[in-house]
Amino acid sequence: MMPTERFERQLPELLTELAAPRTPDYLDDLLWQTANTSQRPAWSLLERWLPMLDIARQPVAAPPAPWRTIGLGFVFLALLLATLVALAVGTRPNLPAPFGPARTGLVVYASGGDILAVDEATGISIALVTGPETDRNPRWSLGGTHFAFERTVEGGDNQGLVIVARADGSDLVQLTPEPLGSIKQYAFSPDGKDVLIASGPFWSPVLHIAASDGSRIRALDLGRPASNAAWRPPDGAEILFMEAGDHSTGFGSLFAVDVASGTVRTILEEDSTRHRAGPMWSPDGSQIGYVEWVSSMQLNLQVHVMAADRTGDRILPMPEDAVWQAPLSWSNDGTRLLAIRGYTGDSEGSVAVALPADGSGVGLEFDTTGAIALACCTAWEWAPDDTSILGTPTDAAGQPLGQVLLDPVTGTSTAVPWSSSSQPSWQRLAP
Amino acid sequence: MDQRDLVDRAKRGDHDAFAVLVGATIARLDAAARLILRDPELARDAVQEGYLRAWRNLAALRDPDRFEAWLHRLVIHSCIDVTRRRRGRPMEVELTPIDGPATADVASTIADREQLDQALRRLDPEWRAVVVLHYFLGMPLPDVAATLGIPLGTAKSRLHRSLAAMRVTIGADELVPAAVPGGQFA
Repeated sequence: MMPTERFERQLPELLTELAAPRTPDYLDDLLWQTANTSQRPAWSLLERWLPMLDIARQPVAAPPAPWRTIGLGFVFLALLLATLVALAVGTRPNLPAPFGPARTGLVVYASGGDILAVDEATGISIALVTGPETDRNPRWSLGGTHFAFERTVEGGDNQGLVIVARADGSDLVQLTPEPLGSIKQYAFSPDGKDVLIASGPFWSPVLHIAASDGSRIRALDLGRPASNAAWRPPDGAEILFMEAGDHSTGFGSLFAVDVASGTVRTILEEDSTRHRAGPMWSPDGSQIGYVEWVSSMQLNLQVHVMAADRTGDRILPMPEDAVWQAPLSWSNDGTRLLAIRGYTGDSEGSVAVALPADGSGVGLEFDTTGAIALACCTAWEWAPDDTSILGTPTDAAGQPLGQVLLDPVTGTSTAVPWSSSSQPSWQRLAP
Repeated sequence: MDQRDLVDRAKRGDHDAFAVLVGATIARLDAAARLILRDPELARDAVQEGYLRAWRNLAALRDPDRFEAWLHRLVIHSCIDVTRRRRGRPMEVELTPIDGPATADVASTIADREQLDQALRRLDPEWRAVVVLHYFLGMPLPDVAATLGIPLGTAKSRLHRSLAAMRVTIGADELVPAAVPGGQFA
């Protein structure tokens, strides 16, 4: 045996001998410290207010039935034929504006490790990306021409690749040359040329910008752990992000980085008495909605809306007997925010509500009893034409439930006919 | 009571359950921290910070069966954080009695643990972490990469170059010096 091999074989034993594992004499001191430290309440986890992709970590066990696949195949062929006809007559793609109301297209989702798309009106699904790999969490580009998804790395510890495909599931391009751990978000830039990717453990998240043609990827050096990043509408010249600080000292300072120069501007400084989460741009990029609370041990969350230059910060009203509310998603016309509202000091009986963004009222509450718990990773998205809202509620343990649709006119909710635990994502089409 | 039950109880605020979990894991993590940081005081800070972070954020742990892997990540990241915060601080040398069991092959390959200690010290802490996670904590490389938040290829590269550098230091492999130009590992 070569010395090199012997060295590596004996290294575990050598390291054990060198380190001499023993119970350290500071154990009692450590336990005293933890005993005198409050645990972070479950509801205050940042992930609760962010549309994290973790909601779909549980693959659907049942594979699609064969008859359904056959049916979907016919639909897929019909779509292909339609596409070929369109190409034959020389039509050019008519893309929607990246923000604001648009025509509603397909909902893309993952099921059984495959990527499918469904027409919400008919409930008919088509398979877009299938195979032995485990794919999840597809997200449309803002022009509706491509979608990105995560492909799980077999044998890796929560590692995955980000892949982009055309709307019909063809021309797969791998954006991440190496697997990334704990992929949390990815979002296309408004022009569709780049994809912003957030990955890493919650205490040390990392942002990357990858070209959507797979030609390059770079890490964003922001000088601080960053989470909840979002391209600023309408051109994506800035990226909004929140510092992933520690709950014990306050967290939630807001920043925006100029993508071209890397210059970071502070929007809201850290305040140890206040905690913030879930910042989100209005569709025109002029306002930012976020949630703020002033105590770690009580549910007293409030929805704030301010101008992008931090002026005009206002708290959106809620009924007198409500205790808290938090924003989830802007409508495409920028007039409303979908929020979650609670009437008790915990998550029991919380409801969804469409709030006027101008603060003119307490909004329309949805009949979602039992469908919306204040649980981890609840994610909602307005349809491009704002006629409905698709959501993936979770149970109290944070496991995704089936998707539901909310009607912002009647306040009713209905379960969708397809089976998906993905984060909701609607395709935007030109009017 | 198994670990899963203990974690569930600790998540509900049962500090006694957490104390049992700490007692079962701290010796190995303290040793890992001392190997990575090569400074017992820094290791103490890092381990305490890691466990405090674990206690405070237990609600973030979805799968109780992943507790140990999750804890490893927290402590190892605390080690890296401590290193980055205190780069200017003089290192304290750990005095470990040299009375452990002798190994014949080891004796012929490495003169004594001082050589291994020296070899480890010459590595950047973030590189040492790869070696310690893989060879001391027994993590597969994909898990090492996930724990450190680095690509798998980077973890492989760091491990390969760390081993090469260590071999050079302890003189165990006369074939590899050219692979480590100038001792640059950043």
